[in-house]
Amino acid sequence: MGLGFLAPLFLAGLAALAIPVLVHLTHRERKEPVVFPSLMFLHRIPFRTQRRQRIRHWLLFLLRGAAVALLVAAFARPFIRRQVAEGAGSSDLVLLIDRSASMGARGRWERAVAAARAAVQRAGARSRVAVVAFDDRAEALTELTNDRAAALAALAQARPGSAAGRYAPALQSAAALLERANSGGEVVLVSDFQRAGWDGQTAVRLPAGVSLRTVDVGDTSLVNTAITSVVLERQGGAEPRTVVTARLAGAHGGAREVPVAFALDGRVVQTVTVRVAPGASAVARFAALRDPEGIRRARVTLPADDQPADDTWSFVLGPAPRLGVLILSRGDAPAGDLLYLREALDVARDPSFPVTQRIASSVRAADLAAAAVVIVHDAPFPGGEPGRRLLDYLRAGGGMLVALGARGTLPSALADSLGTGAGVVDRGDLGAALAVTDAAHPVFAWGERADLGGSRAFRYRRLERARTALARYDDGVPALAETRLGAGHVLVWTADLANRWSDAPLHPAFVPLVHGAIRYLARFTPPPAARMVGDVVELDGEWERGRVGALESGTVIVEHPDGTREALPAGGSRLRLGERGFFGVHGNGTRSAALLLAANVPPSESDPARIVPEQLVAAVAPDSSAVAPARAGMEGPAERERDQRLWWYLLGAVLLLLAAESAVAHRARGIR
Amino acid sequence: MSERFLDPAVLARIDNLELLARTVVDGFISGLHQSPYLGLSTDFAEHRPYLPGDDIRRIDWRLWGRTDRLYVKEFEADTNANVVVLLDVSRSMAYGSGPVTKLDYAKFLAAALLYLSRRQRDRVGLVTFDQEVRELVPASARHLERCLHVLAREEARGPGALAPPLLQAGATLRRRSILILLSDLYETPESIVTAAGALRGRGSDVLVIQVLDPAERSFPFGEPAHFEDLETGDRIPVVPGDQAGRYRALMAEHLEAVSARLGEAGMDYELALTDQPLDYALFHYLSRRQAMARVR
Repeated sequence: MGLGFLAPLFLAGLAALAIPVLVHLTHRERKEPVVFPSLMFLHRIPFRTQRRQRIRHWLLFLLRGAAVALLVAAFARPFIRRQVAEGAGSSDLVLLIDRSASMGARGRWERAVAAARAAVQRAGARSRVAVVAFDDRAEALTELTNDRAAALAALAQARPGSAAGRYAPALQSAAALLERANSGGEVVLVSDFQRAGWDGQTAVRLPAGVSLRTVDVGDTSLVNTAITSVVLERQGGAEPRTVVTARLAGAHGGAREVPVAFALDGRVVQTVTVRVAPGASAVARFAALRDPEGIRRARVTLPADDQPADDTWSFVLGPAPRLGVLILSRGDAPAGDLLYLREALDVARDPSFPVTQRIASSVRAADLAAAAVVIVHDAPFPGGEPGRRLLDYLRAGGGMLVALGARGTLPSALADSLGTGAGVVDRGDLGAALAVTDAAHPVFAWGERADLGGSRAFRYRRLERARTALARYDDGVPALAETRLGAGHVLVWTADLANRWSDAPLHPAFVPLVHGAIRYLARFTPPPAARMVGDVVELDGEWERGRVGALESGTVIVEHPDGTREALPAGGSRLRLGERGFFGVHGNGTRSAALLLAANVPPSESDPARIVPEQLVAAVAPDSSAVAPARAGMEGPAERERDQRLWWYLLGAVLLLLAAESAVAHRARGIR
Repeated sequence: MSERFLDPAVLARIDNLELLARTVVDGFISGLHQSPYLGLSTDFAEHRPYLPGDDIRRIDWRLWGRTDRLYVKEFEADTNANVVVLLDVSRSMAYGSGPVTKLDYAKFLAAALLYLSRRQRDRVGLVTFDQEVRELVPASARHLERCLHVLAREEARGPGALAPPLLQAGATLRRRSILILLSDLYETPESIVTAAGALRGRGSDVLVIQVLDPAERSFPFGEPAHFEDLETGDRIPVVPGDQAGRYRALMAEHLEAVSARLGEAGMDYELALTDQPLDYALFHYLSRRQAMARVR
């Protein structure tokens, strides 16, 4: 360990030490005279001028000289050269190398590998070394070993990936390695220290006797523009269209014009140019595109910059999801009875609700098979075979919305939990107000304003035994109740949806309420067009959501973005999206992908905010065993300067010295 | 409480010298009630009729029983004497390193002494001087207010000398008196004794109170500077670090010589520092007054 200076030229300022010497030698008299009653005695004392050429007040002189010297030293920016001592001991070394997507930035990975190699080579002859590469997970490339060549070979083969970086798993892995080895040692963390990698909440502690040394290979001079998300906006009409909008973030570099390309199945279909300023976001909006027939691979791409991993955003583009709705009504229902309901369903876009209408008593099995949700409106629940089909449909997991109105009835299977609903409450011309009693229910979550509080109901049916009411009238009678039958969900609206018993259909909240009810009953969750690298997908659920039919028995084949194929069991498999690009999943033997998943670099990897390494060291250090971070030998002056803290302490010492000087000088000066 | 009123820093806030003197003396006297100084003499001299304000403890009750009239006893010390304060108001007395200058302190002391004397029915007078007499108030039983008025008006000015004004003042005294000289005594001990001795012409008692600022004795200066004589305006360079020790020795030697020479000449001497309460000087004066009463 030695002392170095970032600005050694400032040491020439030590010549300023002559100042206190001169001050003390010359020691000028006060300009104003001191009045005194009589000089009778002073006249008798000989005045020896030669005394003035000697330094008096040695303490003051030393204080002033030390203050000047420390001030000069502080300006010279001293730092401690650490002769990294790991070579001298026999303690183990765990090398954590960050391979998150941000490490793929220009020059960063090369610096990281060089620093890691240097750390391995400096390790003591008797020390064992383990190499752990990490992003959001930690992977031990080598266990603790004396084989330096193996560690270096593992480093040579490592590559930056596409996942987000997380420090906690890596540090836990290092702690576990050293604990298992039951030896003290050192953990060397080589990273760009993105703030997103450390939430400060995870409780990670290194074992006693283990120190953490950080090597910061990050830099802030990158020119980077990132795509942080892509939004699909569905448009209806005879030819459904989709507008693709990409959101960009400019991290560094000056404002620049960026051409943004939108490609479908590898072919660029549109390009727009967007101006992106540093630290600001921008939006690239492409012209509406007719929805493709099937699922397509789509990409938005920027020209490559210093961090290429976030220059591409992959996503899946296909027709908007459709939830078939079967409306069952009476044969003698007045014309226009379903006007409001059908209009509300027709305006849905994502998903859309294709409607089939039938007489309740003549519902067919094929109708039910194509329906995600059944609406029974103001019609007696059918008996016989149709009724049985409907109940079977419910028990199998179907969803049903029953609007009782004047003629509606409930089957005995539902009467147990809801009552018969035979009674009619007539509230006259004034009507009853309605209030949502379970605002957190998913029915209301779908629409921001799915609250019918302003509507009035003039008549409604009384459900005697409804236990779960999502909304009630002002007399406490349920307006919207829920029950279950088998695996299916049933919502019961005690008025009608035809603007006769209730003016709810005229209310703006009617449409989001109907949409929310359909989505809830169909258990619809929108399939994401894109996912993040590191996400884990349950293939069963995705298969079902993708509406590509049941998974075949046996195995499925997963085709990774790099072209490799992997066979997984068909049932209950989970797939981790470990790299960016498209993952195709198809049945064994089929060629085209039945399920397509797109994975992208998490936007957090494009965030230039960084954590101070000392903060991390302090957070995980066991007691006082952590040491100050060392810098890679290749680090530039700017980085080195950031960690030179000695000058702060020197300035503090200067202040203390000056304060002491003031006190001493005041005492020495005495009464004027 | 009385000690607080004798603190010169506190007294400096009182504008009215009479009030100040009364405050000092009353506080001082109340403090004396338990001291051996109570009563100046027990030698009975005569009776006189009781007047309102007289201490009722001094009423002769047996005489009242016989005559049905109130008389009080008078003792030797209660008989009138002349008390004259000679106050140095030369420019050097204007010095003060603290809140009170030497002249302020001397004025407080003079006022207190005059008031105390008047309480004891002495005739009081005042002489102020620098190198000559500036104000002279002859001793009289009615001159307390006048003395206080002159005191309040006086300011330090001009160079000082002891011999000429004291000789001049001594010539004006027509009867034996108690003379209290308040000065900083910046002269040689011989000159001081010679000058003060001129006051003893009619057998007067002389009490010399040397008023000094603490800084004049301790010389606490640290920074080299030119020092300027308050009276003459002369300036000399001084390096206190080198000269302070020698100065203190010279000052101590001077004080000792003055005290000794005055004692040898039969005069009392008291050193009063301006940061000391006034009662030191008052005690000294009272003891001197007691001794004088016994002589009568």
